[in-house]
Formats: sequence, structure tokens, C-alpha cells
Amino acid sequence: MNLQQRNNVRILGEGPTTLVLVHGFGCDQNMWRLLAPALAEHYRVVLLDLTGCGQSFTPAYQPDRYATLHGYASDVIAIIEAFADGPTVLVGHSVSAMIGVLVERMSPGLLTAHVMVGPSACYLNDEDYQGGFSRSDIDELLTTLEGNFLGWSSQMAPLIMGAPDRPELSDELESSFCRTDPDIAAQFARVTFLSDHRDDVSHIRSPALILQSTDDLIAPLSAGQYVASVVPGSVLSMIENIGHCPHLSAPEACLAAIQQFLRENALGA
Amino acid sequence: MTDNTPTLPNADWQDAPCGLLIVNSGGMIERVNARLCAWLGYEAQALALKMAFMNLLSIGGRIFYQTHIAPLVRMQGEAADLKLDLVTASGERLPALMNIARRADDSLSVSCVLMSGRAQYEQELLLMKRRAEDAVTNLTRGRVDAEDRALLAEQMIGIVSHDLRNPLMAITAGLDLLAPVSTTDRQRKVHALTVSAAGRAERLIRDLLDFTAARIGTGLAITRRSTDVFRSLEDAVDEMRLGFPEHVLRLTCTGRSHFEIDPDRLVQLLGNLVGNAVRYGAPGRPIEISVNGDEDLHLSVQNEGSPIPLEQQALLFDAMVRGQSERNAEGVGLGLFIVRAIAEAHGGEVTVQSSSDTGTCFSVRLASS
Repeated sequence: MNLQQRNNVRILGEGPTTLVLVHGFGCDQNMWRLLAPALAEHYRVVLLDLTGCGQSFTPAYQPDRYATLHGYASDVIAIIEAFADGPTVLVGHSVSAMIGVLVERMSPGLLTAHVMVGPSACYLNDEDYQGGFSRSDIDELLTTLEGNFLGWSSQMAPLIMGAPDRPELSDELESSFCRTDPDIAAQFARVTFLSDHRDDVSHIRSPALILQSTDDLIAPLSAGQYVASVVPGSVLSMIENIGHCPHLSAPEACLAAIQQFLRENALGA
Repeated sequence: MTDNTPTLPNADWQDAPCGLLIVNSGGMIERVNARLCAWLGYEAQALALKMAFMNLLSIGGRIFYQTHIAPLVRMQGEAADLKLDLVTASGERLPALMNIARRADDSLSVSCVLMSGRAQYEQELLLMKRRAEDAVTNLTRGRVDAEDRALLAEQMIGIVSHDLRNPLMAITAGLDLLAPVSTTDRQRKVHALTVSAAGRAERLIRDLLDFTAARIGTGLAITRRSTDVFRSLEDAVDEMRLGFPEHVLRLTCTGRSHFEIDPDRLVQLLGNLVGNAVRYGAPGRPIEISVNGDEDLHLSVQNEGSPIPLEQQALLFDAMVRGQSERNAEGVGLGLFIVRAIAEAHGGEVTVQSSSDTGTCFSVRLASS
């Protein structure tokens, strides 16, 4: 099992800068499908599935190793060392923005810049800090996950209703979107939503672009503003978008903001 | 609220036995049928364009929706089989099963059915599943621990038995030196008893070492060599007669006598079987030893006496099993285990027949090669 197979690594395009796109909790590299092709016209784009997610090699998931985000960060460091070429920018969605933070902490100098899509240094409310969630909310999420995964008997895909107007999606592709092992999903949910990386993020010195949706339940404005306030020279870019996945629902705005940020940091093409 | 769908008039879907919703591209509820309003305890006017679809879900459901369902619907146009709780106007949770489809204008159509009973059943299933998983974990852990302890005990037997051989050799050598200087009757008697006790200790240790070799080592070793079986056995039986003067041992030999076998193991096997017959057979009754050589070597030892209960016969060849006898409890219950190990090492087997009419008979077959 090599690194490429373990994390289903795919390389698109070539360019002076490498962009490593890392998906968040609940999905896989398919999340970048509307952004990656446009980025690949100018940059070397590295796509991956975090261990335990999507088409990664699931048996490589060891609960101890992934009990904190550091295990994922080690994986991403290895992937960058193997597949990146030139200055490297980690584009991390949601929890993976914090994985990017840990990459810089664990391997200083490896990353030239960060693009954080809907980042949150801490999802739980804590005194004056507004993460947006309480401990009981996260417990409720775990119950919801459990209920939804009950019907996912190991290999069986959930029923697809059939989308006659979308023939471009093959059945095979449809059923493999964002599939995950129930036990892994539950642990990843706990690790994601109970983590607190406010101290780690305050040590970031590379330039960072924060893409903040105007209406995002998972990463509310207060979370994005917090990251912006502790990372020196960071840019908070508001994206007109409802929901947690602006790279899916507002790809053009995301692309424009990323291009501008890279050009301003002499990484653009 | 109006509906102009030509195929399904307003009234038909208002009271359909499922909740139906249209959610606009901004996430707000645009239309909702009467059935769902009734379930939720809201007036339609309080929902339409006033409430976000998200707000009908529990917080846990909202996180799952935002991180998994929404991207799924956007990428593949639909998501089905979603189990989410609806939150009513009074804050009550209604477990529901939902299907969501994206429409051309990026609005969503949502259908849901209530599943309270099924949700409860699934909860019980989950609980049972968790209990079963815990039970399996505990059993596995217990079994691994027990196996570890058993292996340690068997290794210990091997080590201790091996280490006991050296002091015993010193005792035996000392007894040899003492033989010529034991001159009085009392001294000779004590000397003879001590020699016999040392011999018994030596046999015990040999049995224990054979046992550990058969159980955890490379298996019980045999060295086949050309053997005059009748002669070996006649010599061995003569020695046994000296050892058991109060018993009558009868040896009958027929057929072929020359075999490629391990003669020391053969004598050990016979010794264990005769020892058993002496210990458990009827006192004073003859013990019949029959040997017949054809293609294989067949040997049987028969004694009279009370039969071995049927339920014990199956366990007889396991280690540490001993018959009921008040007499002479020499040994630790390894005799028949070793008999079987020797027979199997020779590509043969041992069987037992026992009844009140014929007494007990152990039959051994050793393959010629």
C-alpha cells in the first residue's frame, strides 16, 4: 500500500505553485469537483482523501493514530513531500484548515500560504468565544450519524432515487460520493467537533486567506473572524453563500478570491 | 398558498400521508403541505418564506445536513434514506425519514414520513449491537488471557521438569555409591525403597517432559530403528514382573516381529499401559498383553475389573485425567496422553474398550513406517 493508494492521491495540471486541496468532515475529494479543474489550468493541484474517507484505503485507519488531527497532518505532510513541486499552498475546507495549521506547526517552512475555506479553530462555545456549538449538540450529531449509518450495511450504497436529468453522473460515481465507514465517521466527528486549536492557529506566520460564507451554520462569522484576528496579515474574504460548502455552491467567487490572494503573494500564474 | 400543478391538484397533496416541502435556493421554506403543518404544529403562513428548512431540524441534524447531505444533494442532485428528527413548534422531536431532490432552479423538494416506532426499534437494535460487541470484546480478551496463562503454565512445567533432572541424577549416582556399603537389613531395605522412589521420580519427570514436548514443543520425538519387537517386549515384561510381583503378566506374541520403530518409546508405551492395568484392574487377576505383527504392529493390554464409564472414555487420553482409584495414585495423569502421543508419532492410534464382561482393553496400532 503506497501513499498514492492509501489516500487516493490525484494530481491535476502543472504550474509554478502546488495547491493541495484537503476536504473536510463528511465528504471526500469530490467536494472540489467544481474548483479543481479551473485551478488546474494554472497550478499543480494535488487531491486526496483523508485516511478513512472516500476512496482512501480504509484498513489503514488506526483509531489511535487519528485520535487527534495530528495523525491527519502527518499524512498530509508525507503527501506534500512526495507530490508537491515548488511553493505549496494548502487549501483546507472546514476542519482541514486546522489540519493545515498543524502541518505548519509540525513542519515549519513546508507551506508557503494557507487558503482556509470556512475555518473554525474551535467548534464549541467557550466563555466569550463563540464557536457555535455546545457539547450536547455534538452528542446529538453522533446520534444522528449513528441513525443514518444503521442502514448502510457495509458495502451497500443507500438507495438512489434516480436522476433522469443528470445522465452525466454514472451510478457507480453517485453511490461512492462521500461514503465512509460508520465507526470512522463517528470518531472523525468527535475529533473534528471537540477539538480546540485556538493556540495552534495563533502561531501561524504564513499568509492566510479565509473564505467566509455569509451564512454558515458550521463555521459562523465569529469563527472566521477569530482566525483572522490571530493570524497576522490574514485576509478575510466574504463569500455570498448559504451553507458550509462555498466551493460547491459559489465556486466562481471562491476561485476569484483564491486567484487574487495567490497573485498578491507572488504565487499566482 | 396556491398550487397550479396540473397533474396533482392542491387538495391531493395537502393531505397525502407524508410531509411535502419546497425549499427555495436561499434555504427558506417556500411551500409546505397541510399534513406536515399538522405534524409540526405550525400554521402554513408561519412557515412559508418565514422559516429556514434547517430550523425544522435538530442541531445534530443540521450539522449532518451541512457537512454531508447538502454537498451530496448539490453533487448528485438528490439524497435519500435520510434519518433526521423534525422539531415541532412545541420543541418535540419527530423521527422522520426524508428524501431530498434538487430542482432545476436550485430549489429543493423534500418528502418525509414519520418513523417513531421504527426509530425506537432501531435504537433497540443499536443497543443490542453495542452489547453484543462488548460481549465479544470481553470474551476475546478472556480467551487470550486464559491461553496466555495456560501456555505459561505448560512452559513452566517443561522448565521445572528439566531442572529437576540434575539433582535427581546426583541422588541416583549417590545411591549407586551407597549400594555396597548398605550392609544391615535395615540399610538395604531403606536403600531399596529410596532407589525405587528415585525411579518413580525419574519416570514422572520423563512423562512431564514428553507432555510439554507434545503440547507446546516440536511434538513428541521418536527415532525409528530396526527392532526385534518380541524380544524387546519380553525383556520389558520380565522387568515389569519384578516391579509388580503380586500381579500375573501374560505376554502372547504372534506374526511378524521385526519392525522399524522406536523400541524405547514402545517399551515406555507398554509400561504406561501395564502401569494403568495394575493400578485400576481387579487385584490379583492376570493382565493379558497381546502383540501381533502383520503389516502394522498391534499391541493390546487387557485387565479385568470394573469398566470405565462411557462418558470418561472420551476424555481418557487427555492430559491430567485420572480414573477413580483409591489405590496407588502414582503419576500425574499423563500416562495415556503419552501413549497416544507415541502411537500418533508412529502414524498409529490407540483405542479403548471397556465393559463389565470383558474388563478393559487398550489397543494400539503402530504403523510400520
